[in-house]
Amino acid sequence: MSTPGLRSGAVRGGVRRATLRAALLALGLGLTPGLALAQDAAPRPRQTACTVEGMLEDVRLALKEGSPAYRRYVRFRLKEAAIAMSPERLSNAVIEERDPAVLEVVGSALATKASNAQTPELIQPLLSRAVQDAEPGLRAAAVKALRGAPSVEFMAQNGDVVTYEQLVRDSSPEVRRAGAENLVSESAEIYFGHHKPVSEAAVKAATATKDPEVAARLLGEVSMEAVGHEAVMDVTRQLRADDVGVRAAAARALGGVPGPEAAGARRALVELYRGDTDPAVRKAALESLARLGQSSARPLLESLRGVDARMDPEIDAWLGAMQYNLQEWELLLREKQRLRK
Amino acid sequence: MTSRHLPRAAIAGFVLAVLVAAGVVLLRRNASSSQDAPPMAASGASTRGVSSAAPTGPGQPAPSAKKDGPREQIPMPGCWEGLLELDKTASLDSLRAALADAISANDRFLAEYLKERLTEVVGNDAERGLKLVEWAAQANGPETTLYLEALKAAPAVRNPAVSERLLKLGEDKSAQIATRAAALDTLETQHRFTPESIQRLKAIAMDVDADSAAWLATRTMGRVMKEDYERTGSYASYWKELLDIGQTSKDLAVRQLALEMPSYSNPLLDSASVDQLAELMKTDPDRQVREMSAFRLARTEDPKRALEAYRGAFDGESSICVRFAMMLYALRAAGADALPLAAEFAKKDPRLQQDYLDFKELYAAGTVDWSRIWMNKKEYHECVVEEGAPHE
Repeated sequence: MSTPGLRSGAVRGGVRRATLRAALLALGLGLTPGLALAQDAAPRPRQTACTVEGMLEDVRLALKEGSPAYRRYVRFRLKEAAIAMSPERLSNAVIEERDPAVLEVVGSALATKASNAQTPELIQPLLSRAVQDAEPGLRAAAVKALRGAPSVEFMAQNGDVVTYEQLVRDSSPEVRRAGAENLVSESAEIYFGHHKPVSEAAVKAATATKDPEVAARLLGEVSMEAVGHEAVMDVTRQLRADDVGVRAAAARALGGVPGPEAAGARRALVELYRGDTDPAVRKAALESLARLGQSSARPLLESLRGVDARMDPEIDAWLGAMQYNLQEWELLLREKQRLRK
Repeated sequence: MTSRHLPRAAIAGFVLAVLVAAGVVLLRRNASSSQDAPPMAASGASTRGVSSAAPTGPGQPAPSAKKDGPREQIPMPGCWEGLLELDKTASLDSLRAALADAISANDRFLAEYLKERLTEVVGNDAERGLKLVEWAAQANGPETTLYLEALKAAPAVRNPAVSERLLKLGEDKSAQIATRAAALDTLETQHRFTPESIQRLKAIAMDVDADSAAWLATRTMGRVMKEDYERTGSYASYWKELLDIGQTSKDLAVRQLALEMPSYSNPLLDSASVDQLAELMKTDPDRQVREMSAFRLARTEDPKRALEAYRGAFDGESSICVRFAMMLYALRAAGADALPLAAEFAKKDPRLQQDYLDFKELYAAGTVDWSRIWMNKKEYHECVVEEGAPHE
């Protein structure tokens, strides 16, 4: 049986070169952007040589005036071209760029080149701008440009001169948020949650930042599947944070720790459930207790009934979802959310 | 579900799906492309000038010293003059013309952009959507796929007139198989199918002459089942027909795919399915169908009956891969509660002894999530195809 993919091959029909546009322009009619213009009036792109300057110029104009599809296209094309560009030329473009949106795109191409060539030193201009630029928007753009690259590993290979602990202490919330977003996406999209250094970098950053929103994001969204004992202790300490969001996120993080850490996490969560009166924190604690034990958590959840009457429907929903003895957390969570969000 | 959790056939199907989705038109750059390309203009990618203003802060362009100096040419095809203007004034016809140029130049990035721009231009407009279908029906090769993939991502694809036209094209025995397959693939972004549409797709899936169109009809039915299940919790009307296809189709790949499709939404299959799956697992002549049936049995409303089905089929099974699947999926169905059954299997077949010990150790370490158990499990039987590996 043949693969249902479609064959490659070049098929092209003859399309007349448009001349109407020139005629309209000559008549002073011009052309209105949009979809209503005469079909034959369309400009016909012409293939040309690629130059670094031309591509950067295309990026600049696309970000200002292009459709979403065109903006994606110039980004992808620059990343592809970066592989063939000289590192010096690309690094200089990063060093000289003054527009945050363009810096993010060009920096991302540089980071891609660094990943592709396994040359972590190439990202040094980005690290430098991420901490040294006077303009917060440019610092944030330099951080965002690292997204999609193994940035934690690259930072370590550059001597940890710049780390996420440092970036999430930046005076600008935009930079702090960009750092958190990088760690969240790197954990999920590059390593699928299985990478210990990224998860532990996230825990360190969450501990270092004074921004509760950033700490909550890191603890709540980065996988704890591979963290070591010290990181688990750091997360556990965050259960006593002043900010409710951070406490709830730390509680949720404890549900994802490795099996050998489950017993300690369970004790901390039960204590939290009994002692912390905030409903969001208690809800997160219940979720993590359900996750740590799955079907075997039934008796423990039952024992917590009555501690807070407002939470009893939540306990009922978990017990209801456990009736099918589901063995995968994602499925158990899904079934619970069907019963109660 | 991660790729590592899938049996060979499931992963094979997934790889195929990825290839179909990512392959787009499989335009490849090659040496001949640059030879065929129109003559290149002098140097820059654009004739537009860079502002000469010195950078003074954010929003200002970079220093322009380089613009007047020698320009570094990049040894790659794929730069086009006039694209931004095309983008701003895009129409279906202008994009169609440019797409022909992109295909001719083997520029897959440009073709991908034009496809996405077509999606934006079509939007929710059913007439434009229908126009793409007509172009696709008349075209050959990559253009057919590109038009239909553009439509697939546009909201207009869910307009009843458009979806009906696509289904008709998929059914059209006078059309090329590749065109029919592409039309059926385009239907996978529907939110639901009516019972009548499901029956029409099933008829294509069961048609021995439909080749890849039969495979695509099956996959589309399964993918819309996933969408419908996630939106409404409904899966039974799709699964009933997929299970029937899995049992009765004459095309082995179609049968495997039909049984695989619930993997992507993981509905808890009703108890009535258990007996049919158990029968397939026990008696089907194809190893992969038996393995896939074991996989499906792990996710039902009645895990105890699933364990009984594994126990009942184990002795008659000769394939180590299917036997290992029975152990693995028994644990997926019941977790550590299935360890005694796993021990029983290991006692009967010493080749599974180390697997049993591994599983026992993993559960003893405090891990309860089957996904993590399987992620950390060593493999001994070469029964699992990693993502990206060639499929059978």
